[in-house]
Amino acid sequence: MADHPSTHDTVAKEISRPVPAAPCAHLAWRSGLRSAVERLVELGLRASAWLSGALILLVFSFVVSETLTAEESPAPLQADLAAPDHQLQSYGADALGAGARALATREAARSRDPQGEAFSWGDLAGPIWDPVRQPPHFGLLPLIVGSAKIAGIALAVGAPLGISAAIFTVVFAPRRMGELIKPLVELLAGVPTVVVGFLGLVVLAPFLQNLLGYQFRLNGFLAGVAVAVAVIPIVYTTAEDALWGVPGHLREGSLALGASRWQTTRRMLLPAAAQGIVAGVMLGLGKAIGETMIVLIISGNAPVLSLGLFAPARTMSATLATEMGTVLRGEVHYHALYALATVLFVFALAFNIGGGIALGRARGGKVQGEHR
Amino acid sequence: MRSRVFPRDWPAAILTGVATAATVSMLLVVLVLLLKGGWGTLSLEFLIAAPKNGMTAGGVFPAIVGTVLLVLVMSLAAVPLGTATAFYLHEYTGARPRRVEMFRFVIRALAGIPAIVFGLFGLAFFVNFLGGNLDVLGGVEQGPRWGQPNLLWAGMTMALLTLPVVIVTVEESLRAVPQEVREASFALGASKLATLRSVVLPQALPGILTAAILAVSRGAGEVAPIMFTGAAYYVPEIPGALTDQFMELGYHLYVMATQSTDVQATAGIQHATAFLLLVLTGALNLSAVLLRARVRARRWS
Repeated sequence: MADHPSTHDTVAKEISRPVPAAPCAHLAWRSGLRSAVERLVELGLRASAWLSGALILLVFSFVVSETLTAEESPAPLQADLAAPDHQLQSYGADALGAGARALATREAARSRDPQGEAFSWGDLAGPIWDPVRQPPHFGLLPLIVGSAKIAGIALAVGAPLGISAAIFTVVFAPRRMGELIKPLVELLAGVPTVVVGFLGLVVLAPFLQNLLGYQFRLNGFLAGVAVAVAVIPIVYTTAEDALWGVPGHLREGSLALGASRWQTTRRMLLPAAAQGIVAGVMLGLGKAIGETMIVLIISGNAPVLSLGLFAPARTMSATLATEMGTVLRGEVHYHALYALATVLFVFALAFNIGGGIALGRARGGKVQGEHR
Repeated sequence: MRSRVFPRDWPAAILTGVATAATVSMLLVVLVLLLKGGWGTLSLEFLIAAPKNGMTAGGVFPAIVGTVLLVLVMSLAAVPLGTATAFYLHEYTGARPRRVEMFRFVIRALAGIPAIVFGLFGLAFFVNFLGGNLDVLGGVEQGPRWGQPNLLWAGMTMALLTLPVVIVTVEESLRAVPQEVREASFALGASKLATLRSVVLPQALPGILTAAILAVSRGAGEVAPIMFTGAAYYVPEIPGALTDQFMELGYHLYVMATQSTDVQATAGIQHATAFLLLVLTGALNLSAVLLRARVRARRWS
């Protein structure tokens, strides 16, 4: 080894390096071909990562660009010209009870002058959402109120349940039981939302109506309660992580001073984990705003502007799901729906990024090496 | 928390315990309700027959096949891309922690996009833009039409939705491979690629499998992204090409629950379909949870 001090040094350096940063292409014995393969693989992996990262920009730019009228986005228009009947095809299934309406819209679109109609973002400001009225109204207010109402109810029901369950798991449950609860909640998170919506329709709806005696079988309150089922696992998982993240010596110190478990929880654990819990609630809010299938099935789907808890409601997400199947590409309604999708995108992203930042802070403040 | 439970702790313990019981029992309630409503319908025939009499009788076979094909197409796109991304982020960016932070941020944001927005994106990008231009290039008259909702575009849209799941899960499994093992491999003179292939990859394989299972489970349960990108109300035939539309269990359930011509007559089919979907996603999820637990237990310390 004394003959090759430089190689020896390099290897020693490689070992002491905490994370290998670059392929060790400089090692003398490597053949040129092999190092080329190494570089090619790294390049491929890097390209994949950048592609994954760029997808969000792709999604955003395409959703936004579809709000523009056809003249401004030439490529899709070409496709339409090449296939004349293509433009008149509606997406999703016409058979969904909306066939007649789609047909009427189609006739209207044929008679309409495509140059004269344009969507503008200003159309979104208004208290009425009614795309079939003449002229159509695309006011987002009733949909935003509907989304906020249902997400609010979902959090009011789901957040206390999720946080309480997390406290029970961390503070009171015997170890074995705690280890069982977590995977069960993870399984609950895996229940498809369309199944939750279906059960909400056939079981929860009649049950709640009998219990509370309200007028409409399908309404915002019912949808909110069902969406809570989807929100609870997110709040629980994040809150449980945050509670476990509080350093054990703080907990033991509090208990050693004679505080009871609940005193320790209320005065020490909860304040210390507050940021993580808030993060969980925000992530839950993001989920509730974007949730589609549950509200589509049981919110009553009436875009009326009402603050009543038990009134039928319509969310932004459900509007997209209901109306996208009935519009024609290029008509004003189509662009308005993409504008609505942009708004929903921004809302959900804001809550998720907010939750992510809170979570990052909560984790950053954690004392190292004390997890579990 | 090791300490005795004071009597004054009992109210809090009971209250939070009840909340926990309520949360966990939801799973059981869902299962029991679906079994109760669908028991009479669940049979071998239900699994292997197509819907009959305007979807008021028969089985869900085309929907099962459609679901399987959908998650297959989705996995073929999401798992390789997600795994490659995770490998790059964990193995090649050691000197650039800021870049990793940025990637994590973007991937978290991607995970936060509502499923229905993905659906609209899939319609705009895959169906209209990619598909429409493919049709123009290939000439409209001959060959399959790409500019309409189909299996391929639905699978691609679903892949976007499940990509963050794959990335996060694979990264977690890479984190579980101790740094010392890599260093030992380097010390023996192995190259970066050889280390990754012969040392890191075998240990990370269960994690990659977990990621795939989680992605499939998530994809099988989502309906919103495929409503406009490929799922069909009723197609009796099994899809034979990527340009075919397909039936899917979740979408089938949605259609049956909200647009059925005879809600009373199809109640059994609805419950049984929901039960099938739940068992499918639940079984996948459970195996992912168990696999993950084994991976975690195997972690060297």
